[in-house]
Amino acid sequence: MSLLSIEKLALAVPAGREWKTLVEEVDLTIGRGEAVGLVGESGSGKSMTARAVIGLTPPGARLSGKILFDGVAVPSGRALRELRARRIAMIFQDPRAHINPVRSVGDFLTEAMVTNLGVPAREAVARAVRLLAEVGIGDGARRLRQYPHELSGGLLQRVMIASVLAVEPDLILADEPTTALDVTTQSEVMAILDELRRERGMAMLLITHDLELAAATCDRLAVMYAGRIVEARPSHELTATPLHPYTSGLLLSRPSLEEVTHRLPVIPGRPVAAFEADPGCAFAPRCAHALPSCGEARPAFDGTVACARAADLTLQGDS
Amino acid sequence: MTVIEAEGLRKVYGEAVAVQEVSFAVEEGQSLAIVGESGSGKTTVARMLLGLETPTSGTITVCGRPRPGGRVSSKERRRRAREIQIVFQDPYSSLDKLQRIGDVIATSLSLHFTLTPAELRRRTTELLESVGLAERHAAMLPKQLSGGQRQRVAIARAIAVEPRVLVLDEAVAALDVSIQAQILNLLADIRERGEISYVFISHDLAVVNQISDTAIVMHRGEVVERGPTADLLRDPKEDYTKALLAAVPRPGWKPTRRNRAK
Amino acid sequence: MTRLGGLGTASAVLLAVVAAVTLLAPLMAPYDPDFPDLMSALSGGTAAHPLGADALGRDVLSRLMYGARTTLIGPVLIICVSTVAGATLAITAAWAGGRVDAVISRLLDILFAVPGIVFALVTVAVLGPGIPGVVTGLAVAYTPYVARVVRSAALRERSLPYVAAAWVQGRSAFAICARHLLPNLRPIIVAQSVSALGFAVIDVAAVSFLGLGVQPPTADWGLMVKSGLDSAQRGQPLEAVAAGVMIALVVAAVNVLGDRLGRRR
Repeated sequence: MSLLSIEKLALAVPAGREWKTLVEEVDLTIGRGEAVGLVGESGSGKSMTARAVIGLTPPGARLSGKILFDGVAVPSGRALRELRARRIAMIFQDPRAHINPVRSVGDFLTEAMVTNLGVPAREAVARAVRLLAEVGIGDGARRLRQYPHELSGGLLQRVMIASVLAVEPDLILADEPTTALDVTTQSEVMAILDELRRERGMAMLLITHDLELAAATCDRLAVMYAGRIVEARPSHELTATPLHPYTSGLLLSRPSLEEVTHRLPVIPGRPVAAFEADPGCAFAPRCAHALPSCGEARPAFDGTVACARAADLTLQGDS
Repeated sequence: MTVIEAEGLRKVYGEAVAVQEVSFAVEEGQSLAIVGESGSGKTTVARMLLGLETPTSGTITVCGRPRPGGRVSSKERRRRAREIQIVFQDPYSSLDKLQRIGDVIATSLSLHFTLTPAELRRRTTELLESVGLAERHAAMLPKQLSGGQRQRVAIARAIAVEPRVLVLDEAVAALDVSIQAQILNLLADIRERGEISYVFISHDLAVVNQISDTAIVMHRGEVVERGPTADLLRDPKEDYTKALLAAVPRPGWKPTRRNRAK
Repeated sequence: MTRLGGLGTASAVLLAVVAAVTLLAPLMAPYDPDFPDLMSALSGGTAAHPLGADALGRDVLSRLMYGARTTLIGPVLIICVSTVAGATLAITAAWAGGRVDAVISRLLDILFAVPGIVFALVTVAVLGPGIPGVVTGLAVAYTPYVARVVRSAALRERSLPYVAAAWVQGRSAFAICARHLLPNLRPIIVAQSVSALGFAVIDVAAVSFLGLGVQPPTADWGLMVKSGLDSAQRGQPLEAVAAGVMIALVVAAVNVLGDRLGRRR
């Protein structure tokens, strides 16, 4: 049985008198200890999908479909808070916005242990120091007395990871955890997250716009476009032999370190959100392989790909 | 011909040294990348080139003319504007949200050229089309455009004055991957059309590889390595350049941690 | 109008009605505001005088209508002058920065520390009692009220890349301030000056009440509260209450409107 299973998830937010659909028909499963990457551009609905899991949807949002965590529907209210405190943790793009600026790093790290897990305060401090060491912060005792504004973005994100490790959740939702960081810091933070997650057997849903980053750190990838999953497969298969023209386009349009092409192969137009999409395949207007029929019916997602032409196309991947 | 020559640039804010001993030259038609992470001083260098910051010491020569710091007349600033222009990172705040797209371009044109109203309209449309927009966009406000379209407007505004050098300060960093490629191609097209040079400020080595001929790598305010971009990326000499290169996600890549504290 | 909300709309309607009455007083007022009908003096509400007549038998309703002019023209002038001065100083300070900003900011801090009434007393002492003295003093006093808020907003706006882009294009400082900064700051300036208007109404009425502003026999709400107090002691509070209620209503409406305009940003 999978740890998290999302079935036919749809999410819409009110806009005046209308509803704007941001996510629809999303099916996704994550096994115990598995890392899944949810990849997409702006408006793809990747963040909203992750947030829906722990009830962090915008006010007034209309949610439908099933979200099962460990076989049980994700609850609301007090039970949901309990779940968030112990079993599902979230790491955000901007750690500074999610850490109380007037409380010390030590308060931030020990609070969850003391109030949620009932660890005695003295022991919580010792554990916090050990956790900081694990995320590569050596002088833990000093760091615990510091305040968020004294730490760089990279250090703060590592503190965030340490706080997640403190509760050892079953699932980590990481929403663009390294996007605001420098490349060298990104590499380090992802390595820490990857290593510690594997050691502890925690599952992860990594939300990112960076296909290569997701492929390097996740077992499986799901690519989202206009609120739907268009392709979901094991990472190396998806990047080597993409089945959906959008996946292929994303891989090819990214400039390479090895070679210089005179002109990058581009996907024309711009990414759209679910509510902006035409009735047919949402990607059809930008797709080089689209047939007239693509604009008529929206292709169903068969668990691997959502493209009417998937069977007769051979698309280029990154190798 | 050398269009930009920076010699021994240094910028100090109070106690903090943001940039020190930075020298480089940009030849006509060439594209130079300034590579670095946050705090490397790369953006400060860009701002000094444009006269938005005054160097603490060092000299900048643009198109053969030295540019001393300090106050200059409006006329001199307009002359300098024809030499060097900039496109910023954030496509949202780099346009006045109350100004229509056509007015953005027309204001730029009428500041530098004497045009009849008909010529002004025609030239505005031409410029919008040259960056992949259409005449109908002229009547729109920035909020009606996507991020990529706004960045196109910012590019059109910059090239409207026909500068010799265009500074691109992380100009594609905030864009979606599919849009980033479109803008990089547009920049390549613009360079092929005319004698324009680029100073491309970026942290993204893959993008730098695509768009620049030569590059300098900055770290903590200093240049640590320089050379033709291809050589620099194929065979980096300095540890910092190697670390930077090793950190770029690509096929077969794994993130690495430098040390694990015990 | 939906953006203003129920209370905001009500306030706007009230102010529009007051403004209309102010302009149309000669057509609408039932009596000459200065005509003494001694028979009706201190009569209280009657069919002939709905809000009664004052100690000299002048119709209170007519005096309220005419008084709106003198009561409101002062505050409106004060706000116009202080808004123009304040916005100009604020944008200049934010644009120039450095020493210019420091000098302007200190000056504004000093002005802000002195109560408006004190300024009015000084200028009235120099220029003599009446509207010109009061307006001059309070206009100076209200300048920092607009300027301080606008300066910090202008600093934020000035740091945006589009301003740097305009500068790099060779646009003059004046053009950037007038064509870009000012329009973008307008909502803040309007909200701030509208809410200042509320305070100005109170201050001007207070100065008149002290006998330093509008001089009798001119109809004025502040003066009516004052003369109404005498009448109240003689058993007829209607004049003071009517004028006081009008001041309170206008101030409340102006404040609500200022708040709603500010919130829309």
